[in-house]
Amino acid sequence: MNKKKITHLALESYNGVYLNERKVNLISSLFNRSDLKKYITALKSLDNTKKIIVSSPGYIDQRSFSKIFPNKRIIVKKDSSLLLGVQIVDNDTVYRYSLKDTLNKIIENIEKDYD
Amino acid sequence: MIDADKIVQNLEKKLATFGTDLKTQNIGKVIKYADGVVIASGLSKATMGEKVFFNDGSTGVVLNLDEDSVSITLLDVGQKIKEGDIVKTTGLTLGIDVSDSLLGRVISPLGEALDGKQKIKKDKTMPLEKIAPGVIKREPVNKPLKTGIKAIDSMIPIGRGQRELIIGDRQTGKTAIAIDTIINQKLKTKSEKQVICIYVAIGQKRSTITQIIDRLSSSGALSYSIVVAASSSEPASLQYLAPYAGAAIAEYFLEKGKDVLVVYDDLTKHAWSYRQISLVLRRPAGREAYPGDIFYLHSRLLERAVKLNKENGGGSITALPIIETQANDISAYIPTNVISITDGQIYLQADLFNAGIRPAINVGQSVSRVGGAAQTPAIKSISGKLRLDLAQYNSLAAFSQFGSELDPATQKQLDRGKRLIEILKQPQFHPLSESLEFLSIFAVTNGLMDDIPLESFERFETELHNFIPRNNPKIIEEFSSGEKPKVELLDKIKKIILEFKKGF
Repeated sequence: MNKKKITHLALESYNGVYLNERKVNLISSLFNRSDLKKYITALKSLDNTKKIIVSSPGYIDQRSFSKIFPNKRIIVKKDSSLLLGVQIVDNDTVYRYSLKDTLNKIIENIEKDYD
Repeated sequence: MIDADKIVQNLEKKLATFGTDLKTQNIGKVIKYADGVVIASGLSKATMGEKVFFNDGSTGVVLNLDEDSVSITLLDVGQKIKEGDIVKTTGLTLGIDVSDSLLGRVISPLGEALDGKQKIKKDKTMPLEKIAPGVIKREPVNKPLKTGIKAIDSMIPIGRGQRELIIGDRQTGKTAIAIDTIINQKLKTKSEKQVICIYVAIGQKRSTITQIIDRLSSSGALSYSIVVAASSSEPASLQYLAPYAGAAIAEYFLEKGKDVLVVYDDLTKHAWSYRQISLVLRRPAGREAYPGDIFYLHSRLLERAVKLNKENGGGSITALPIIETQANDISAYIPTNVISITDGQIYLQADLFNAGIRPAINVGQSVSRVGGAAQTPAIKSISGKLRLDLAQYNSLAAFSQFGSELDPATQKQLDRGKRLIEILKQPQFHPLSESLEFLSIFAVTNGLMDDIPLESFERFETELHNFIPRNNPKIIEEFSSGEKPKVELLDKIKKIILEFKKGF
């Protein structure tokens, strides 16, 4: 089975933003070993496009993010290293507001301006 | 002394505007790592040639953009990279930090100091890949770049802004010509413009690079030179980038209106490293397993050698690429590619080298397409006769093998030819000034050395070069302008040489 068909089947395994376990079991039973590996890879990469990981040191209001990203699953994580900020991972793009980055930028500027 | 109040003020300013600094990064995950190439998923916004960072601090450059993945060539060893590691884009293409403090330093193709001295100060970041200046900005090559080697300056002259290929088998003296040219750029008068020299070592042994640096240092040439080193133990990606780093540094000085000489030693190894990278990236292999764009690899590099017109600063970049042939085959793939790009070639032959003719230049097959435009009138006045006499000798030399008796005119021609070949020999690391080159060639082409035994030629020449500046320094001054010498001056020189011969 070619890669395009496997990717299409992986898309069909979803109900909206959630994987349908029954469909996954049904489809995976049709594959040989190598096609199954491709199917798993396709599911993993599709899953990344269907979720948003929000990290913050404090409390996150999940509902406000659901309004901004209506067609994605919102996963919330705690990350104390961010220092008064928030990080949003949308597939392969990372958006970050963080005091840690600001402080790092100040250090870089100081190192650049003062020998 | 860092002002603490200033730092706190900066911090307070940043805090007041905190929340408006959004950092956006495009990330990926390592799927596969083999042979110095990392395949990563994600990185959907990565561009070709973009620099990327790994978790362990390694850097890489994006060289392949596929449908679901990106191929990244590592710029360092990357021993700690493993599957699943995060790769981040930087939004930057490869560049090198340059400044005047690079002079006298030995650096890697990424600008890191390799000589153990202090950190290099940054004035500007120059991109490694840059489109060469257009036709409108250029002017014809019209100023000589003196190599100090008689055979080259008289018959294969190089001009500032020219690309002259040095080609030959291994151990024929290719690097020696390049090093002598760099040493000869040492300023002799204050009115001259210093030529900045950049030596790019690609895929060479570290011991060889050390010897070259040592020689440049002892000759006083390192103060106006920069060495970009990517030895054979460096990753192929660094060897691939080294010549472009040399070109980028040259362009920094070019923008300031300076004349720059760049030696690429050697482009054969550069082609090998690019072949290695392309094969690992699974790009289609062409002739001799080189990728399809192997010509473009060298053409875009050498096109950056330029002579700019006055409106654009008047600076120049002269390129001396070196190519190593196998068994004198200049019709192989890479040599023919580079010969077609450059403005001439200096062809070195092993059998000439073994016969004691050093530099082992085959004058018949060497050419400079710039020619007389890159010569001063003084040298031009004697080079025509030299070339003609040598050509006549070469055509008659075959007859001397027969052992039969030759007529006096032919014998005289043969003797003259032998003397011309003898005068064109020159020891390594002893480049000559134009005035001394003129004296040597003038003496032979005018028959003033016809009675000197061939075995004594070297000694005669050395003592003549000491005699004339010591006893007649004004003669040397008159030559230094490069103007065509008047008949009276030539007669004067003849008298001085005859006088010297009496005491020899």
